Parts: sequence; structure tokens; C-alpha cells
Amino acid sequence: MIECRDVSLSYLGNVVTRHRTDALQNVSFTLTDNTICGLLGRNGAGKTSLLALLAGYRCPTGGEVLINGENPYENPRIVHQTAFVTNLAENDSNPFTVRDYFQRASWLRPNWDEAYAKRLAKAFDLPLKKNVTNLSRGMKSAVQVIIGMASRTQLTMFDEAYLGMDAANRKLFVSELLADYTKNPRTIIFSTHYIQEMEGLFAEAIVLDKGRLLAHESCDTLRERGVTVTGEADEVNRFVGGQKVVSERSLGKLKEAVIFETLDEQRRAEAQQLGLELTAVGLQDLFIYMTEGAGADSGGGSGSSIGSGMGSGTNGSASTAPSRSDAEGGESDAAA
Amino acid sequence: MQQRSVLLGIIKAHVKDMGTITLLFLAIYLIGVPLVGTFVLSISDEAVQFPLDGFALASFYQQTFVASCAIYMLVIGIIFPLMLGLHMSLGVTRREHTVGLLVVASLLSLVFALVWAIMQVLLFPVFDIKAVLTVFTLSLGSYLMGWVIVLGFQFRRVITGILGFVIVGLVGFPINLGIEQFVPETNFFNIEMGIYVYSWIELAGEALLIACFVAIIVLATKRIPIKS
Repeated sequence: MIECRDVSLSYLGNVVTRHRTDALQNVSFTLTDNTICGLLGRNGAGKTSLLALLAGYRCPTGGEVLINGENPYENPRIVHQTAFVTNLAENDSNPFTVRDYFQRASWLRPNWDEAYAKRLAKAFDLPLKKNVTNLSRGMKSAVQVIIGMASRTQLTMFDEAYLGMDAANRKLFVSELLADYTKNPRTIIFSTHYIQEMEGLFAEAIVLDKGRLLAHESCDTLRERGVTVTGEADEVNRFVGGQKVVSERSLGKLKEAVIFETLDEQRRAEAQQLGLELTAVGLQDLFIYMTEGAGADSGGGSGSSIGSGMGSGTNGSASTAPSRSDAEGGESDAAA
Repeated sequence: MQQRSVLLGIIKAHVKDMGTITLLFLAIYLIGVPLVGTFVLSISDEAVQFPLDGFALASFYQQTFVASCAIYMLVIGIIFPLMLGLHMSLGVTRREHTVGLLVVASLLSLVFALVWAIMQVLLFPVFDIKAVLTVFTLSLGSYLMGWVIVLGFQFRRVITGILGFVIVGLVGFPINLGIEQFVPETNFFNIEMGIYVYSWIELAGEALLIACFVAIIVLATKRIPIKS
């Protein structure tokens, strides 16, 4: 279990003026074991800083980070079981060949799965004898991802790890990750900007904005915060009148409106009577709405964890979140 | 058990990294120095006859060996601690990385001392334990000095980087000056070999310096933030 209690992190921006930049401010949440959690936020929201704290790369300047009840900083029991997969930038130098890099990982990772790493390297078509520095960006990402997956750690964190990968490789990565998660359940935190592509993976989502926790809920609950209303334009206008309309789109007599509000049973019945169709809103639309400011004060700031309801699939939401039971049944729609 | 396997793994990784380049260094030294030494001595000192006698060549070997080892260890002492981030991304703690580097740096210094012990027996042939310990302490001390210098930069601030240099100065020079005050004739000349070696007091001073460097490294490395 991962617990963050009032975690703050600030960097010394200017040594002379002693000006500090706040990367995280009083972030609190609890993440249960064996779940796939999406970490969402705009650039500079504090996603990488949060993952760096969980990986023991940094010490929080305030609050407490606990993994299985222990501080991860310089804690071998936690660090050995944590993989923090980042994207190797173009100018990052790595003196090893792919084969040497894997060999090093096998020396340092207690649960390293050599056969799995080899199989993935073949699937991603990696040249094992080539120096990692000389690989393309997508190939570098594949190397990092393979190390993260074959390490078989209890906590695996991907921080935009698949940047540069082509669509086919991203699809391969997601399907391999889900298949492996089914066989070897573990906690996976996924920081990404490809929300639409990856949201099917997530059971829970943590939304950060400017260093603050905006929401931490199961994806189903999060999606229920908004509804897409489709039907005849007049009926749609009548139904959404006086509510927070996120976006509207018209096509002839038909209209589609996205509202940021949770509908109770009475309202749903009303929509049905009007011949309107209600569908769940994509996580990306919600995320954009929430982080653009309008949703920031919509009650998501409590950071309450509703992780236990993962994959419950209520009220006709179009969730593809892989609860354990979903994942065991095969790959999710997103992965297919 | 798991912690021991990771520690062994990091030692293995450091041995592979530093061992390979050290073998290359030794090969270059053992082949290159006789050639260069013979040439340099033959043109720089009129009193030296060409071809050089064994005594002059052996002295030259000792001086260059000690200096080369010290410079080499200083350079790799700057380079290899910078692999901390890479190894941490593979699940190694700062402490394990530091212990691994200290073990391997000590092993390399021991290898240099051993090589010199063999060389002096073959060249002179005598065995002076102080000469061997001189090579060991100088090599290890130089490695740690390089590490302390780079330590400040690992905090990613120029000021702490400069502080690294200052610490080396503050810790290293007073100790050496103190030794010189205490024992005016600091170097011991081994007439049989025609070389200077450290006295026991100087060796103790070097050991103290090494202990100070290790303490600084262990304490400071714990706080190094890793860029992600």
C-alpha cells in the first residue's frame, strides 16, 4: 500500500535569492496494492516529482511518503522492489549495449526474468548488440520499458516511458503489460499525456494540477462526474439548460453536449423520457475540463480515495478499466 | 539475502566497468613507459648513459608508476560515482552504490600495490613494504579525492561543486602540512632502489586522509537528489 500524507516538495530555484519552486503541495492519497493507477496532470503539474519521491530519488520537504508502511528513501527493502521507468532523452548517454544493460539489470534486480526480457526484446525487434545511446528514441523507450517489466518489482512506475514509440509498439506494450499484470499482479503507476489511448488500463486515476491533488478516484467514479447527452437539439438544450456545459456539437437536428455533473436516477429517467442518450465522458475530456480551471473547484480536491470501487462499472458508464476480474478475462478493449 | 545479492551485483558491475579500463591502463603503462622512459632519460640527463642502466630505469619506473596510478585513480574517481543515477534506476540504493565503489576502488588500489610489489622484486630485487603501501594509499586517496571533488556537482549546484574543491583543500592540505611540521624530513629515500617512499608517519597521515574522505562521501552521498 502506498500512502502519501501531506507531501510537499520544493526545489531551490535560485541559490542566490533562495527562491524555492513548489513542485508538490500537501498531496495526500492512499493507493491499494495490485492496482493500475493513472497519474494525470499537465506539464509541470508535479507528476515526475511525485514518482521521484515514491522511488526514493528525493526526500519530501514536508509530509510523509510510506510504501508498505516504510519510508522508501534509502530503504533497500522498498528500493529493490520499485522500478521507476523514465524516458531516456535523446541526449542521455548510456555507455552500454542493450545486452550489457540487460545483464546489469539481471545482476541488480532480484526478481529479474531473463526469458521474459529476451522475449520482449524480440517482440520489440531490439538490436541487442547496439549501444543504447545510438538507438532511436522509440527503441530507447522500448529498452527502458522492458527493464521495467522484466524486473518484476512490486511497484512499477512508468513516467512517459513509451515516448517515441510508434503506434504498433505502444499497442504491443499495453497488451504485454496487461497480460503480464494478469499473471503477476502488482501496483503499476502510469504517468501519461496519452490519456485517451491509455485510459482503458487505469482502474484509478490521480489528477494533479500545479502541485496540488485535484482528484484521486476510481476511473468509473471519475467518469460519472460528466455525461455526454445526445439527441434532438431542442430536447438537449432543454435538458442541459442551467447546467455546466463543457462542450457542444451540432450535426443537423442532432446535438451532443457534455455536462460536468453527476446525474441522479430522476434526471436519468427524465433524459430517457425525452429520448436522449446518456454516455460516459472520456477521461481526457474530463481531465482537460478539470485542469483548465473550471473543474478545479468542483469538489475533487479532497483527494479521497475511492479505490475499493475499482472496476465496479456502475450506471452504464463505458468503463474499460481493468479490475482484476476484467483483466483475468483477457485483454481490455484498449489493449485489443 | 536479497540485499546481499544486490550488493554483490553492484560490486560485479563496478568491477566490470572499472576493471576493464584498468587493465587497459596497466597494459598501456607496462608497454609504454619503458619506451618513453628510455627515450626521455636518454635526452634529458647527460650523465645517464644510453642504454640506461637498470637502476635508473627502475627509479624512473617507480616515479612514473606512482604518479600514473594517482592521476588515473583521480580521473576514474571523478567519472564512476556519476553512475549513481543509472544504478539507482536499476533499484540500487545510494548506500549500496557507495559501498560497491569503495570496495572496488580498494581492490584496484590493491592490484596496483601488488603490481608494484612484483615490479620491485623483479627490477631491484628488494621488497619494501612501505613502497607498496605508498602506492596503495596514494591510489586510494586519489580516487577518493576525485570522488569528493565530484560530490558537490552531484547536488547539481555550482556552489556545492566548488565546495567540493574547497573541502579537498581544507581536509587534505592541513593534514599534509601538519605531517611536514611534525616530521621535517617527510620522504624516506630507499638507497637500494633509488626511490622515495612514505615514512610510517606519512602513511598514517594518508590513512587519516582516506578516513576523512570516506566519512565525507558516506555522509554526503546519502542526501544526493537524483534527477529523474
